[in-house]
Amino acid sequence: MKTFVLVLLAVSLAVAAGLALLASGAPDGLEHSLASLGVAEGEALLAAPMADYQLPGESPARWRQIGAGLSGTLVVFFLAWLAGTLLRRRRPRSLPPAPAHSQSEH
Amino acid sequence: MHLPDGILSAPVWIGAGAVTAGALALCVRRASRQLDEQRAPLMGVLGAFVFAAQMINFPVPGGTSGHLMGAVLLAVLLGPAAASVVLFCVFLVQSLLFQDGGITALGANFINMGLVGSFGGWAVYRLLAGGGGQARRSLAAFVAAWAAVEVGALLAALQLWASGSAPLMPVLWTMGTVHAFIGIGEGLITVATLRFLSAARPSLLESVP
Repeated sequence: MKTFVLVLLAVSLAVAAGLALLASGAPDGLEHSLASLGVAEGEALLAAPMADYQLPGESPARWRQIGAGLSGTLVVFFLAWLAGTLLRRRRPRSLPPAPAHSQSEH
Repeated sequence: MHLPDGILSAPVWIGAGAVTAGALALCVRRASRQLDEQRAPLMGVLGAFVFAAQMINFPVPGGTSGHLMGAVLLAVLLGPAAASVVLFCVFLVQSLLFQDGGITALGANFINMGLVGSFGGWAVYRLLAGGGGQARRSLAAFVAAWAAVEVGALLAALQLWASGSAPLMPVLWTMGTVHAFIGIGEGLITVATLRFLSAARPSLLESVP
């Protein structure tokens, strides 16, 4: 399982860093619909540090996009893993332990 | 299809936020009863994969583009409750770090691109796949993924209408037609990824809650 997770993480990082550079720059379905109906998009409430999937800085846009893609992929990886770990901790005591698992029940 | 800030009216985004909070609490309850030891790292890496895949906009007819949403993909691999939790993590990071989807629109975006696919799309998948073989499961995943995108797009259109941002029939029509094409891409990527993962690790699909 460890190998599988690592390989899939490597694939995800490669997708975020490599394939994303080939992504279509055309407006997405929602943006297209809003534009065709003449609806203006609102102001963002908070300025995000990597708005439009670009790291801030002076480097070429392509590098800043790669950096943003890699950072986001890793942040989501750890956040969703953490969520999964917390969910397992929450397991009610009345339930039997999960298969192949015997500790951290409390 | 991430709705930005400032386009939904307060009653709509607050209502959607309340629905999201309630649904997420139920998902947490349900998922915590179902998770086995291997699911936590799997949730992490599948979330990372969906985040990365969402960066790739593919062109669709009419000068527009779409990207994977991934809800049916995650629901088939993790069960709908854990899939919803992972998708919420993805949308949270997208809105806070990348300004992709408004912070006030987080609830609406989670409903349209998360809940609809992970529960509704998953139900369609289970219904169509039955106990069938790989061809039937692939067809079921394609239909479920397509339907999840289409229904999510129509819901987004209804939210825009309810917010007073767009007239009802035009917004339903334009969102519906564009996403009917985007849904084909969603279906193809979902099926290809499922087939690849189940070939690489056949046990993955056997223990899904």
